[in-house]
Amino acid sequence: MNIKKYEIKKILSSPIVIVLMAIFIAFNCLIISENSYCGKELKVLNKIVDKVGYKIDDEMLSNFSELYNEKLNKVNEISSKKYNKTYKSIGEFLDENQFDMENKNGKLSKEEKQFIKEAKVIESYYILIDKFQSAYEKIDIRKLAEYSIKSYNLSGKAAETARKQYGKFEHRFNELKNNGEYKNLFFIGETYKMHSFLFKDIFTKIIYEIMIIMVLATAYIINYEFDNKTHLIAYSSKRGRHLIKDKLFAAIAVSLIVTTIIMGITLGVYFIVFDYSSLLNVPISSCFNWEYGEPYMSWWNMSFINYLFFIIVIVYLCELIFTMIAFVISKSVKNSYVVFFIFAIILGIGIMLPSYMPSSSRLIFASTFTPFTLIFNPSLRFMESGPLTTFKYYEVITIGAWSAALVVLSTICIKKFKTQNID
Amino acid sequence: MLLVNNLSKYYGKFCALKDINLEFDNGIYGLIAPNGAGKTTLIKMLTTLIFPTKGEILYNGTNIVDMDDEYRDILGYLPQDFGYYKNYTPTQFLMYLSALKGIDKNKAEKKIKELLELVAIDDVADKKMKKFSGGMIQRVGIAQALLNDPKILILDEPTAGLDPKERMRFKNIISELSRDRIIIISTHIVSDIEFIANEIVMIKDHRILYKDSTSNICKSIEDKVYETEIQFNDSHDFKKKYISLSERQEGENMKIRFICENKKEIKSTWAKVNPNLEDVFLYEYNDNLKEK
Repeated sequence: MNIKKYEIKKILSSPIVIVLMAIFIAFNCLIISENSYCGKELKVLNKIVDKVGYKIDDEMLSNFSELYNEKLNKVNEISSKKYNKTYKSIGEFLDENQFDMENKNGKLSKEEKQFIKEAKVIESYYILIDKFQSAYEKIDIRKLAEYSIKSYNLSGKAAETARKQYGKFEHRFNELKNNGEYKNLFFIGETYKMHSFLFKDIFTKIIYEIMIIMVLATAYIINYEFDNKTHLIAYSSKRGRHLIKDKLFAAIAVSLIVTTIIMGITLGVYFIVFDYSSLLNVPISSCFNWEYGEPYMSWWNMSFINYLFFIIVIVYLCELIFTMIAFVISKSVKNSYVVFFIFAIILGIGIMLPSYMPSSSRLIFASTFTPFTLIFNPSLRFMESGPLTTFKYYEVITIGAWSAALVVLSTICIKKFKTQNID
Repeated sequence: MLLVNNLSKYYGKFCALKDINLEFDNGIYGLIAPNGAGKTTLIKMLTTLIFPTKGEILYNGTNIVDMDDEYRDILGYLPQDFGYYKNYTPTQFLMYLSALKGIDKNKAEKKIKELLELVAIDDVADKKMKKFSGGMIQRVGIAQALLNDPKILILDEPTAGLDPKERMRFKNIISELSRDRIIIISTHIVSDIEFIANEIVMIKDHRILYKDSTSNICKSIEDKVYETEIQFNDSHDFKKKYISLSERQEGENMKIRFICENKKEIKSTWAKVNPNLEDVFLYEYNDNLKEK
C-alpha cells in the first residue's frame, strides 16, 4: 500500500470522522423527511409536465387547458353525483366541501378525495401561469437596484458600483424576458419554496457539515505523527518531510470522499422523496421559481440540472478551499481542536467582514469575495443576489483567487517545513 | 564515512552544541553524556531532524542535508521517546514505516517477519500494540530501525525497558551488525556499550570531551581509583573529601570505590583498582557526587 493510501486510511478510520459523518447524514435525512409532506403534491407537476410539457407556449396552454377542463369536469361529475351541484373551479368546490374532504366518514371515497386534491394542484398551476407571467413582465431591475442599494444603505462609490452591476444584470434580464426562459413550469415557489429548501437549507447544512469534518480531519492527519510521537521516525525516514505532501494529498482526497458520501446520500434521499424527474431541464429562472420579493434570476441560461451540477461543483471546490485553510493553520498549530477554533474565528470574521466595511467604499465588495460569504446562501449563487454580490463572475473570481492564494500558501508551508527543526 | 565538521547548534542565545568535530567509520560508537549535554541535539542533527547553526555533517564527502532522501535511505533511527500507533499491530506499523522507507511491499513483508523473529516478538506480530509492555515496544522500535538494512544506525537509549536477557540479545544483534555499518548508541547505561563499543564519545558542557577507545579513556583516571573499607560513621566526612563512585555494605563497614586525585593522601589500606568507563563517567560528571 502506498503512503497516500495509508494516510487516507488513517483519516477514514478515525472515530470522530466516522461518527460525525453518520450523525450528519442521519440529521439531513431527518430534515428531508420532516419536509416530505408535500412530496405527493410535487409529483403532480411531473404528471402535468409529462402530459403538456414544461415550456409555456400556445400549444402547451391549449393542452393544459384541455387537461384542466378534463379534471374540472371529472370533479363536477363527482360533485353532481354526491352533492347535486357543479362548480366553476375546483377551488370553489373545496371551499364549500372542505369538511367532507377532511372527514373520513364523509360522502367522498378515498380515491375521489385523492383525485380532487390532485386536480386542485393542477388548477393552481393552470391559474398561476398568467399571474406569474404578468408579474414577471412588470419587474423593473432599476427599481430593484435602487431598492437593494437603499436597504443596504450603500452610498458614494459603492452605490455607483452596485448600480453598474445591476445595469449589466439588466441586459441579462432583458435577454431572459425576450427568450422566454422564464416561461416554464416549475414547483410553485411561494407555496413549496423548494429552491431555498434544497439550495439553501440542505446545501448550507451539507457545506457546514463537511467543513466541520474536514477541518478536524485535516488537523488530525497533519499532526498525527506529533500526536503519536512518531514524528521523529516518520520525518527521518526516506520519505522524510515529503510526507507532509502525502498528508495534504490525503486530506484533499478525503475531502472529496466525505463530500461525495455526505452530499451523495443526502441528495439521493432528497430526490427519492421529492420527484424532479420531469423537471430536470426546466430553466432555473422559471417564473414559478419565485419565493420571496423577486424571482430567482440566473446570470446564465441554466436548467435545474445544470444549476444543481454547478452548485455541487461549488461545494466540492469550497470544501477543498476549507481543507487547505485548515492545512495552513495546522502547520502552525499542533492541536486539532485549537485548529478548529481558529478556523471558526476566521469563518466568523469572513461572514461578518462586509458588515464592518464602510458602505460608501468599494472595499465592501472586496470583503464579499470570500468563500465564507460564497457559502452563506447557496440558493443565490449564479443569480441576482443583492447589491454586494451581483457580479457575473462572483463565484469564479472568489474560488479562483482563493484557490490560487491557498496553493501559494500551502507551497510556502511545505517549503518552510522542509527546513524547520523537528524536536 | 560520516564526518561531523565544526558543528554548532544554538537556540537563540542558548548553545546546545559547540564546535563538534567527529569522524565515524564502520563500528559501534557509544555516545555518553548526562541529560542536557547536547547528546540528543547531536543525534537529531545526524538524523536531519534539526539543522546545524554552524558547520556541516558529511557522508562520504557530501553534506547530508543536500543528500536529502538519499541519506535518509541509509539511515536507521530509534529515538529515545519511541512513538507508535497503539491500534496497529507490529506488522501493520512496520509495513507503514517500510512504505515511508521506500521498501517494496513484498520485500518488506519478508523483512518484517525476519526482524520480528530477531527481536523475539514474532508471536505477537498480529496483536495490537496497545497491550504491549515497554520492553516489547522497545523491540518493535529496534526492528523498525533495522527495516531498511541501514548503513548508519542511530539508537537513542535502545536498552531502556529491556530485561537482562533482552539486553544480552540486543548486544549480540548489534555486535553482529557492526561489521559493515556505523552504529551510534546513546545511552545512560554505560555497561551496555562498554564492551561492545569500538569508541566512546563523551560530551561535556556542549563540547566533545573524549572520542577514544574505552581503554584509552579509562587511562585518563588511571592511578586515581581506589577501594577501601570505612565505617558508616566516617562515610560522611570521607565523601566530603573524595569522589565516591560506588558503595556497598560489607558486614559492619562500608566498601567504597572512590577517586583520589592527590597522591600524597593515598593510604596503605587503600587498594588501587583499574578504572572502568562508569568510573570515568562519574568522575567527569561529578557535580553532585561530593557531599557538602
